[in-house]
Amino acid sequence: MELSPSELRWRCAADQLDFETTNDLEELQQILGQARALDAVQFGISIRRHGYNMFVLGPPGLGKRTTVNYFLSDKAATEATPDDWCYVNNFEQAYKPRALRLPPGRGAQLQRDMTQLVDQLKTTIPSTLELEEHQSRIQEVEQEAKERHNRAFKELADRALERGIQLVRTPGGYAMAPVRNGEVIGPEDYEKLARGEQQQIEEAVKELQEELKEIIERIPRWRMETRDKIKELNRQATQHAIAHLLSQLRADYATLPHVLDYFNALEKDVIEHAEDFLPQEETSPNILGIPMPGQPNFHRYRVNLLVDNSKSQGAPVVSENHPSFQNLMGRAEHEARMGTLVTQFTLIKPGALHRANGGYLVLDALKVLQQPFAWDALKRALNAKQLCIESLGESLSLVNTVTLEPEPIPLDVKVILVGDRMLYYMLYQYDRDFADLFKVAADFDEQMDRSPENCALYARYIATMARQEHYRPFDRQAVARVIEQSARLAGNAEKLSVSMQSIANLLREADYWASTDNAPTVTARHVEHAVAQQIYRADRVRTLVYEQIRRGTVMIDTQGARTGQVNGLSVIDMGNFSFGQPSRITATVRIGKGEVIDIEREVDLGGAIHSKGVLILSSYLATRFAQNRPLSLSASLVFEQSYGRVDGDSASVAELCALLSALADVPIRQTLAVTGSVNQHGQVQPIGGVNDKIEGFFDICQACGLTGDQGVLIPRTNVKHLMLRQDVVDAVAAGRFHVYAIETVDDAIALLTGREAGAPDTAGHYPPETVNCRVAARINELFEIRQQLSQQGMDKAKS
Amino acid sequence: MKHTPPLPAVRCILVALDDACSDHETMETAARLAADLQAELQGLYVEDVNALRLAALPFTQEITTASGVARRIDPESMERAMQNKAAHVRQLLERSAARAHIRCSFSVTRGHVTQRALLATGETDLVLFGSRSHAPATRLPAAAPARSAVRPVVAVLDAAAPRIQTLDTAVAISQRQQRGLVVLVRGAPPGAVELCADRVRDRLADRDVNARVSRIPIDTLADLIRAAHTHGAALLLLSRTCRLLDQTAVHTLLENLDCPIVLG
Repeated sequence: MELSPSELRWRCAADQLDFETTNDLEELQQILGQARALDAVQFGISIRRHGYNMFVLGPPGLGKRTTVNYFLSDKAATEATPDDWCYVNNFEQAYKPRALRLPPGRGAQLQRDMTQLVDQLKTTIPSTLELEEHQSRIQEVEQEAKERHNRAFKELADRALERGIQLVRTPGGYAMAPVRNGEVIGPEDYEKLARGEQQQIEEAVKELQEELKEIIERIPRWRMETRDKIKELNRQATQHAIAHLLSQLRADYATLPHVLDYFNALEKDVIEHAEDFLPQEETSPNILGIPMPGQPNFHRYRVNLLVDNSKSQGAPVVSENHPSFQNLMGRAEHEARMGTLVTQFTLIKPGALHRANGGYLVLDALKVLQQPFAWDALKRALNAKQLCIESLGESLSLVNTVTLEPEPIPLDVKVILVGDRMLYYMLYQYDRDFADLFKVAADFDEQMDRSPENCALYARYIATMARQEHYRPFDRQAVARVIEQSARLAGNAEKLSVSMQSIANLLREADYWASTDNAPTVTARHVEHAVAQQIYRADRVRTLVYEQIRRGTVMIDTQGARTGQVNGLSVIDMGNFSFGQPSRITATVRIGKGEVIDIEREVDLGGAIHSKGVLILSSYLATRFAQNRPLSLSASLVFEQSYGRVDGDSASVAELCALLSALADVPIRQTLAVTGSVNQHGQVQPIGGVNDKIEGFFDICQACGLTGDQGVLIPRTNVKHLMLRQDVVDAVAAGRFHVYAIETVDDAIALLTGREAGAPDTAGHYPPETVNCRVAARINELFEIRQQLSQQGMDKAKS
Repeated sequence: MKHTPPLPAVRCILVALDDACSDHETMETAARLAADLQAELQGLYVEDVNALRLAALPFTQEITTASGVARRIDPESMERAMQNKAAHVRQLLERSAARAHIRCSFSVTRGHVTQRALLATGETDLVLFGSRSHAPATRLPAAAPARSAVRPVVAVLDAAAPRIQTLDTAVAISQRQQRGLVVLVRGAPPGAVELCADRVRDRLADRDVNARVSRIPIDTLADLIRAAHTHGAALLLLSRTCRLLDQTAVHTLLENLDCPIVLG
């Protein structure tokens, strides 16, 4: 049935829009056409339970992020500002820094307080330890120690002298030797002594040497005792000196027990390392100005303010555009020191999860999955509800250096992943943690119903955009054209696209073209020009393809009739632009065993769906024409001059028609092209890209010259999708082009061959000279030939 | 108005060094003294003949302070050890002198350290003997920087023949090291002591130094040792003409005091 021009394109009646320009309209305060997704987003944001993270799914350009941010900003502003987080030194295990949680703003305060405290300690401790009273006590201890040493040696020396032995200092220590008149006896004089006297001397020396050894062995212990006494004196003095400094801090942070614990540990450490605060010798070892290890390290009293919410209002909403492992989880950086990589707690850097803790983190799902280890780390953190900073290099043995194990930080964050549907379903299918962690799916629709109410909302959306983006006002004809383009983008005359990115681009460009006209308002002409320009900018490939057809390089007939040859239609999708391309499909038939050979499949250029369509043809032929006998033919189908992959079943009607034409030996009109898929019963089913396909064949026919016979056959079920270009509609209205809606293969055959297809009578016989009658006859003929050949073969075998 | 007088004419300071007194602290004390008085430093390391002699005895052993281990010694190894020690001491001295920006020289001799040093007094302006304490010289790590400035310089003058040079040197050291000064005037008769003390007071009156003049009876070495202990001397300055001094007396003082002694 031929379609009328009114069925080829839905027109948005501008006179139905009750405004002159978009200036007359109120702004739209809602997101267009996403009721289900919006409910899901609101639910997902509001529910604060473990695992209720959200995946916002849908194709790009639907405004998913904008929508999420819109709701998040409102919600987050009403929520409590989360606490600050700091890392401080763990004085007992420096490689395990402690995490401190403080109310918002107190982290920065603690950081300042600690810097100030260290500055004060640098003056207070030296002045305390250098106090005359303290120095006197130190000297007393030192003097006492010195006296103890000297006394021990002097007593030994005196005892030795009483026995005629002198304690003599040597380069390496001490020795005992006999003396006469204050001089050690020489070996010659010693030899002259009586043996008894020698023995007496040697025994005395031996005994005294033992005593000397005992004294020397006691020296380390004495030194340790002295050192301990001095340390204790320093400890007492330092404790007294810093007590008043810390007492003020303790009062300031009295409500934060973990901070008070830290102060206690700090106090202990400061006392232990009081000497670090004393002025250092000028000759402190350094190389090129870099202090050598062992120098005082006041960094350990610093506060690493990891998360500072002092200037935040409400819960944070963080969006991480580069969600690498480290950008998500934080990291402990290293610095090179004397050729070695070292780290400390002040080099811990926060990740997006730290910044978003207590709020919301919005991530692009694909980017997270593309980053090595980021997805696993994110899941681990969400599952454990805590943030552990891990060294990736260390765990992979990429670097072998000192690393940290910072205390984990409790994590309370809602993660919102934004991605396309395939990603969501793949994760759901293959990642067993995904369903537990992302319980809320907000599925964004690509289109909405084209109701008068929705058209009115669409107009308000255009008005809102024009106002917010400072476009010229759109008059109602322009708005109507935009709405029509929206239906075209939806690929459905009964729907409107909610791909806001595409619409926003159209509005922006229409405004631009209006500006080049110095027009005060955007009119329908500007919108149409913007659409035309969008196509023009994108259709380089289409132009090339059509040129090849026009020049006959790619052979497409648009006139005459051919047996076993039909014009099929396919769509080439360039991403931002798609267009229809006619293809010549041919079929040949010969005797065989009932197989229909899909040449595309044979050479691995046919996809599975295409193969399925071809197999359906075999089934259709066998069911309709060879129910009680074997189908004794072999047919071949091919997309001529096709050198790429072919998929989809939208050419199956065309393929069947070509096959039937070849079987019936009835030519097909090349003025027509056909699209549609077919089932085993010969019913024609809908296909995609119907508008592009019709326009594609129209363009070719127009280029070769419209004769008035040309047209396209489309499935009846696709009629509602028609939103054809105006020039096509005009051509149809003028009778120079035709669009036919078909429901069965017989409809297609009748239109393509100009002959009746023929319906079987109760006995299964077709009317004479109908196409189906000729097909049945040919199939029967092939069967009989095969029977004869089979019989001859058997006879030959018997003889 | 108090003023800082010109430095006494001290051109050379000899520091007497041996195995008992050659530590870092002694070097630093000597270098600082030389720097304060703008003098040249002369190190004299004396290889102790007693130590060399005992090494030749068949039964003697050295007990090392580092480990407490006894080991047999012989003259060759003793000489070698002394040479090494001398080289080490020289390094220490040169390092301290370089830090103090003074010139220094170094020589090695053999004998008794006090004897050799006293023999050299004619060729030098001051002779410094470091403390001969048995206590290990290494500094205790937990100690705050020592502020021994609280301990004074103690100078001893003979009333019978007071050496103004010794007094001026003591004043100069006290001023530059910001220490107090205690001048002990000794001798007899009492009238001479009193007169000397007054003259000392007069001389110190216009000096910018925290000085105290004391007339105490110091008739023996034991009196001197007691007085030095009493005043907590950081440095004991004696006139080389002090009648109490001889080789044995210096040795006794060094064995009983834990502060350096300067003969001027």
